[in-house]
Amino acid sequence: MSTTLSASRPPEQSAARSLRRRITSRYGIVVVWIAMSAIFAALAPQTFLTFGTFQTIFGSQSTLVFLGMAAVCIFVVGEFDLSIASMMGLSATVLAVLVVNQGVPEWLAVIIALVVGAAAGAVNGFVIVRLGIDPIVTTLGMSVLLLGVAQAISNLVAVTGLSFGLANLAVYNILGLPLAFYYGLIVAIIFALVLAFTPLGRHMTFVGANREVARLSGIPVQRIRYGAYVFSGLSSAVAGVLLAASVGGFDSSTSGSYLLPALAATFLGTAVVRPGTFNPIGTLITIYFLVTGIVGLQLLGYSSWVSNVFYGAALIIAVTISTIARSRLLRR
Amino acid sequence: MTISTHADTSVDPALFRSRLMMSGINKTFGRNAVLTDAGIEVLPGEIHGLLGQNGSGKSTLIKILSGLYRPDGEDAVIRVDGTDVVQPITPVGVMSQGVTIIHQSLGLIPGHSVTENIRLGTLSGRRFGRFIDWSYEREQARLTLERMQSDIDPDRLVDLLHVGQRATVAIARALQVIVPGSGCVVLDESTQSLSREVLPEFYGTIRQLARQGTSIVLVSHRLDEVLTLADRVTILRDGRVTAAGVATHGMSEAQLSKEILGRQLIAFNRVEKMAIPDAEPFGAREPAVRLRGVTGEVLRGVDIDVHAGEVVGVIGATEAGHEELPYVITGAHSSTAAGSIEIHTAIRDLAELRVSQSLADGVVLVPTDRAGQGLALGETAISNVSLPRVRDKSRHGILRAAWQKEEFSAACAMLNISPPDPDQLAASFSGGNQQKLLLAKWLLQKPRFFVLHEPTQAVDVGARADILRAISAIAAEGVPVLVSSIEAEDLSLICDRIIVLQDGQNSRELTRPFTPEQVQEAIG
Ligand SMILES: Nc1ncnc2c1ncn2[C@@H]1O[C@H](COP(=O)(O)OP(=O)(O)OP(=O)(O)O)[C@@H](O)[C@H]1O
Ligand SMILES: [Mg+2]
Repeated sequence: MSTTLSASRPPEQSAARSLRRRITSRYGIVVVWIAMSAIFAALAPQTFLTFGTFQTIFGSQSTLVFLGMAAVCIFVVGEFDLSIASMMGLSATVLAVLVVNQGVPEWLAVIIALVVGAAAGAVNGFVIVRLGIDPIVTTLGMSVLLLGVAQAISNLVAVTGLSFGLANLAVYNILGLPLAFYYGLIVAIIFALVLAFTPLGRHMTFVGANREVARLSGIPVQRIRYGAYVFSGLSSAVAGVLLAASVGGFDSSTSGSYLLPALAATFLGTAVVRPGTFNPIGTLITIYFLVTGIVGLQLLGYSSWVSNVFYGAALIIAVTISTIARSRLLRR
Repeated sequence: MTISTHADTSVDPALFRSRLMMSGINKTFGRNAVLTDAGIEVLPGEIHGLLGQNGSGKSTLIKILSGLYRPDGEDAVIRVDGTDVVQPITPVGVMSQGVTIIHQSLGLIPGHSVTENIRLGTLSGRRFGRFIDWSYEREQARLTLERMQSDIDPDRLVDLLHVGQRATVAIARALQVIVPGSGCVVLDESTQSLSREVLPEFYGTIRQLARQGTSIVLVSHRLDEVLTLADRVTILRDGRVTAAGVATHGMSEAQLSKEILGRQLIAFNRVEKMAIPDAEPFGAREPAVRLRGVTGEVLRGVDIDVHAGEVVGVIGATEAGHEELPYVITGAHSSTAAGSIEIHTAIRDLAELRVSQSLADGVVLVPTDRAGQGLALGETAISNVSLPRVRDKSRHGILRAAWQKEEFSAACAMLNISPPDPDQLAASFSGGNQQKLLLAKWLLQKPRFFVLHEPTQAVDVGARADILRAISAIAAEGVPVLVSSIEAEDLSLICDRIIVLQDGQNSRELTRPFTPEQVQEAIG
């Protein structure tokens, strides 16, 4: 397509073209989202076009949103973290076990759960940044290790029985959607603003783009990498707390199933808003896009395997798209 | 043979005469027409200069030859020895037709050893299922390097090499696949970072190849080099050919630079700097910067004083220490360093010094490795240029666009950066314009001590004068400046004093006035 643009074309026309291309490349997924929703609406008007479905789609994904924010932060600075789901699981388990089994006050348990997540991230950061160990190996190890710890403290059983009061922290209803939805939205927006409009965001971007250039420009590279791992742990812990609070407990063995959807959404998010770069808003949009597809397919009668197929395929497609987008940007 | 028989044949015999023929090449990036009906014709056994200002389209033409970019439209003709190259062009495809290309970026694979880099293409040609005989490969790599008069350790990671050594590896790799008497080697500014002692030898190798019948395409901003080596030149200006295969015989550097720029070059002139009131000589004043016992991998206890407003040059033969000095004294070096830097009464131990501390002291380093240390090529030009100042210039923690835009347009005006488009990725600027972005990034920092390594690499004759002028202007404001370079001519133009290093130690010191020849001689 790009090669057909010749110098003889009047500039206004090619300006319009490039604007159109910008919109399709930035918001293509939104167009696909609308089209997909229209198809579901046509095929299953009684079930898909209901407020209940709307609530299912927008009310259930805050765990993924916070995991996605953890992943975005890590990827922006050029690192990798496979332990986000396990950190989330550990925090959720800690909260449930402390409150239900140990009788610790809920507010204190929430704080401890968050600290545990951040501490797990700090361990990742220490091993990777200070000791210089490969991030994939380290976080893969941490992921299994933390899963084991969570299983140990929960005695391998689902711990339930958190109060409704705590649940309200996550599910209190505003305009038909639970509080947790708004938390995710606010955090994604703040994160996006930080990346775009603060020195910290610029520094993070350059640490991810070229660590050596960042170092020679006086950016505290190690501190930023370390901070990203701690944030990752903390954001995952928030995901865990919201999850445990909203369902009233947690089964520590389920945490692994959250990793792939979070990564898929983060990668696919690079095809939205700022093509070729990891970004919070793109990730947020993608999460709701993906869940719309899954809910729609389930309403059409496909059983729960569709979500695996859908997320797996999305990850591969996402990486393909973002690779192409990146090279487009260069060869334009 | 008569003219009429030529006309009768259906095939143009000229096709068989030329080794490489490119014509009707058009390339547009977005709305920016980079090549317009461009082309080049190279005869067998000739050394052909491809010249033009920064951003005139030389590298783009070469990337089209290697298949990295596709030409627009249907008019493009690319022939090697009279046969059309197989479409679509791939780097492996053109190589099999005898065209070897050394790109401006060198194309070495980081994280791998010199041997692996040199032997990679040859390794893959081996039979499947056989193990690689690394001692054999290492020996081959060593022999290949020997042809370039180099004793680089084949086991070293390419990441750890100096830029000059990297160029040597890239050239050695390309030369090993040449079949003597055939083919065409394209060198896109590959000689710019080669050290001076190997240059005569390298020119000898090039001439020898050409004598045997291999064609050479030489892209270079070093006009003396072009005039001594090239038989003919093709000149691009704004993507159009303004001189196609003009013989260099009897041409002067001035004529050539006028052909390239399309105007008379306003040469850098030291008088501009002398205009400042300069009562006492530097020697009589207290130095503004004292470097003491500077030690690194190669350096062994170098002492240098730099006075306010003084430009000190540091030069030497390969591995003399001048390549290392800028990094050791600014804390940019990762390995062990020792010694101290004293600036404005603050004394820093070089063993402990960090770049952030150094920058806080006002010591600014312009590194030579553009892609590795200078610019994040995947980010926009403007964000690269403003990067070191984003923290200090943000009010209430908000990064505003206005000052960045201001800075960027000031930089474009000062160094003539083209295109002056802040939002383009740094990677999409030409090599010389990237170098200008890098200089702009640090010139705007208002240094209290300015350290530069090869500041004029990759830039055209016009930009070279602009850069020398900018450095002199900084010094004229009273800033001490230290320039490490192998360009004797640049140093002789801007420096008040030149320090020659040998085996990591101070060897000689030259004070104005000096000529480039005297400087070259002092290196020994
Ligand atoms: N991928 C790209 N996207 C957009 N513009 C590009 C791209 N690559 C090159 N250009 C533009 O094409 C023009 C020619 O670039 P090219 O690299 O061919 O110049 P050059 O003659 O090699 O210059 P130099 O001497 O500085 O290396 C420049 O203006 C550059 O900005
Ligand atoms: Mg070039």
